[in-house]
Amino acid sequence: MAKRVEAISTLKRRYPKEWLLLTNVVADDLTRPIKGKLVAHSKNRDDIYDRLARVRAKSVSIEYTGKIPKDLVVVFWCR
Amino acid sequence: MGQQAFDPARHIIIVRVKLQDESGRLLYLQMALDTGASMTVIPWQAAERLGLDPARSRRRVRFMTGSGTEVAPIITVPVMELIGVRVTNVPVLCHDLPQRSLVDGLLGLSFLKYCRLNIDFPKGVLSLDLSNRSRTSGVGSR
Repeated sequence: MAKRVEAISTLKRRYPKEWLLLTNVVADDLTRPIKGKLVAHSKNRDDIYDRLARVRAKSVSIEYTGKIPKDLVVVFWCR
Repeated sequence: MGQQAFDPARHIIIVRVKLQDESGRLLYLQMALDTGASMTVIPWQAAERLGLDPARSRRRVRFMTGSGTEVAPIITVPVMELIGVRVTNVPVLCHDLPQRSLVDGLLGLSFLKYCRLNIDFPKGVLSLDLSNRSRTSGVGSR
């Protein structure tokens, strides 16, 4: 896997519609990650979550590289 | 005050949230802003990454999903931050949203109630600031 920090925009083009796990995260002034070192990528989010448990780095980010469909809604309710 | 743009044509507002544990380790998640959700929701593995053990939590809530009623633990995340606004000791519910939701979690009222939130749909701008109340609730801005 990558040994260097790369722009997330570059990784999104390289791995479209995938989930990414990044370490060594660099964020902008508004807390949004802009760079990171790629540790894992997968079309299956569970693969990334499983890998998350084994990562020792101080900063970690999970990214989905696809576009959110315009008709996607999220509904959640608890009591 | 922090601001970020969003696409008002979509039915979901995606935000990038920074979570921090007591030792300073950071985890960035993609979450859906949900002003109708009582609780902020993060995946189980995210909680474990922050050194928190949901299985040992005594606080549990019932909630409805597409497949019925489930019970999930509530834990306290030491620090959460959105577009520069930082809130401490945030109660969150541990539950994995369906993979097809394309987000890791929901940012709900257990975080947002400490903030002044303005959603300008015509301009597609989300603005967030700490509320006065937050200063007496153990909440701080960076």
